[in-house]
Amino acid sequence: MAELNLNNTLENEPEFIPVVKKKINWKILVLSMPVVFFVFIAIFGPMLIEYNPVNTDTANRLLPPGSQIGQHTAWLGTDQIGQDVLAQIIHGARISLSVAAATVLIGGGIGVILGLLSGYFGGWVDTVIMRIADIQLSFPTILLAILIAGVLGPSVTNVIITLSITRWVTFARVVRGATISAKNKDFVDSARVIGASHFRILTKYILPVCLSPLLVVVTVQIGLVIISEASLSFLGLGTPPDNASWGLLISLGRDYISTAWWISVMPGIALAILVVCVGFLGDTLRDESDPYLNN
Amino acid sequence: MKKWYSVFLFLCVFALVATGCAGISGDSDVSGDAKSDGSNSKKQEMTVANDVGIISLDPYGSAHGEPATILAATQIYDTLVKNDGNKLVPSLATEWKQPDDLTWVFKLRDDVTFHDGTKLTAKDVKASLEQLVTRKESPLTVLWAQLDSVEATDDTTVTIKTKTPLGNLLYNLTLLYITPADQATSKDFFRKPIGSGPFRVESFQPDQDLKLSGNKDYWDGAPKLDSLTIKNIPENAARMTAIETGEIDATWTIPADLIDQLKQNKEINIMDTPSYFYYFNWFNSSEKPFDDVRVRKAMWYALDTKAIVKDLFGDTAEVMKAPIPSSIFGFSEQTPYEYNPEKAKQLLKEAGYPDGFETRMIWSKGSGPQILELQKALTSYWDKIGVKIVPDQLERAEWIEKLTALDWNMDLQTNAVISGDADYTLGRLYISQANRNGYKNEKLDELLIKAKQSTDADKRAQFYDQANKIIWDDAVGIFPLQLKQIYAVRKNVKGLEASPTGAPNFHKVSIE
Repeated sequence: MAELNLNNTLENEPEFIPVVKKKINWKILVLSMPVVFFVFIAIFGPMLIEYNPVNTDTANRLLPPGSQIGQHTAWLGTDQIGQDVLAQIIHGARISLSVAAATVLIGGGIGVILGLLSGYFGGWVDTVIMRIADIQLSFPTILLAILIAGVLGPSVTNVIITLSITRWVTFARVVRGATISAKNKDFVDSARVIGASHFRILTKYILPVCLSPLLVVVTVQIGLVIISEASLSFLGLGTPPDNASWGLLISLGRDYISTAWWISVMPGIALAILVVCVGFLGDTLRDESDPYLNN
Repeated sequence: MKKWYSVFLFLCVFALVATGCAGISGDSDVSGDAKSDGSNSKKQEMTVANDVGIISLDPYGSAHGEPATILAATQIYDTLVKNDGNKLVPSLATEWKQPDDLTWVFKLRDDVTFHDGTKLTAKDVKASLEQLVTRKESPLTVLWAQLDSVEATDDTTVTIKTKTPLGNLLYNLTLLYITPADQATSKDFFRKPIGSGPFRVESFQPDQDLKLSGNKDYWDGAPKLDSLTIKNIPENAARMTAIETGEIDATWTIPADLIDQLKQNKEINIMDTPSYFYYFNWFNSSEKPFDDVRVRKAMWYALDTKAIVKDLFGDTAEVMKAPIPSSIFGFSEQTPYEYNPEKAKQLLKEAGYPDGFETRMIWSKGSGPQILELQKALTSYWDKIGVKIVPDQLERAEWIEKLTALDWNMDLQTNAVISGDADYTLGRLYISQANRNGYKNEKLDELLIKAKQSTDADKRAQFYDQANKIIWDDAVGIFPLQLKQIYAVRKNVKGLEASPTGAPNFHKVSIE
């Protein structure tokens, strides 16, 4: 019976509900637009607007938004050393987003592998991995990040390493949960009966089931990573001063907040918009992928 | 029952409103009361903030030369001699004489006690000087290299003998703080030290705050303040907010961009005084590439110093004309380096770096006003001649450690000629023996020693003139600007005198 119905069962598995349904989901579309916009800026912006982080122009410092410098207009003003705030935000976007992407890729990759192993094999493998995760979760994330970043020193690579270490746990837990619920399903049993290897079962049958909850976690984590990176940079433990990310731009403008607010506020707005949109997008995706909420 | 309840409610509301009003008009009322009742009725409590934390109260340790430590030491300890503006005046020592060129005899006051009640005697002076010299941790130890011996002849007489004549001995004594001989050698003493100064230590948290209370038994008259708290608020914006809201009563070292904002506040007085502070960027001359004088000069020719100073610092600084500020004894004007990137590139080429090079620059964030902006401006100019800077911003304690260990290529910092005499800076930092920046020059050593040993002011000035020229022309460092010391003080503070060293004495200060 089971073998006969295999195809049917597969199609009816609730985990296989597609994330984007056939009719257009306006909420997701609207929320995605700013995110896509920033990604676009991060990729192509630096090619369009010339910016050298080393160049300063002290004669044109602290100019308000819209000021004219020669033939060029500083739409978002200039900072304390005469650099264009708009250009800095665009270049900062590239750093902030690439740190987020790299962290989610590395931290997420490690988390997924460990989560799969932990959920699938159970026993002592599960115990060891999950206890490590528990120990790590008992520390506040940002404290742990500060500790690691302080030891490694400020550089873009080190920020990615730091954040990956602090982020893998969430991925591992979600994937482990999905794996445990999937591993006793009929279609996995069938694969086992056919004689598929552990590797094949994990990659071909269980991993696809985990993808949909994973997508939600990834979206949420991207927002959190951008915030963490900004926090670290704000504290002087993130990206180095010559490689300004948004967090660092905000931090450097603090002294001028009462006289030249645009230095901190402009990157702050960009950061807020991006993180809020990514966060809502994550929430919406979760709601969409949760069959119980939909009913 | 219900009626009583509403009466009670009404009374409550009335009480709240009344206290609220009292609170609003409180400022003027309270000060009025205080005047009519006599000034003793109000506690004289003062809080000040500086931008660099006090990391140690040890006046013989590695932080001795730090302005923040000197600020604390000025309140807690006494010295034999004080620098009062431009002349040296007696403090613990009432008089001194020189029987011969190598001997100094100081007569001490006999009515001075430490905060714990024990008497201050010549033995304490001897122990303090010996501790400074033998521990060798203080960057100021080198000022005493010529010391032969110090003896306590009797309880109130100190005899100091030097190996060679020492022209600046009195200036050096203005920075020798006296601690009790029997206690100051223990390690824990400097966590909560005692001295004989106008204020005693209540509590001390390194890098955060120092709480002091007035020493009622002070020999020069009890201070008017009951308590004095010195806070560290490194954030400029936070420090300015604190003075505007009255959380602190005075602060100094105010960046140019924030002065206009403070001037608009009617509760605040802005004072300025030429300071002993200046910025320098040293080169580590013991290592490549800065062992070559052409490279060091090229770095200077690459800078448009005038533009940097005008744009970043406005009225709060002046372009420097010598390796020491113009208000210091021993200053002499030198030929400025003009802005000439072509010449800089040419010099680099001659020195074998046609494509420039990469080098590491260290600084500490709180080391001076707008240090980050200055650092970036310098980096930008140097980038144009192909010199790439690897920025290395350090925590203060780590920075001091690296600085003294010569673990750097370039070091950007402010410095203060605290004693007001060129020997403090030139004789202390540039003599080969001190090895602070890897620069060694026998001719310069000779000049500095001659200037130190001479007791004739004119001759000393001549020696320092030549020394300035060597340091300037050999570009041991770049000396871009000297700062003015800007103080912001709330109007109710009386008697605070802006100190060019950033270490004002609070002995005579009061709050109205």
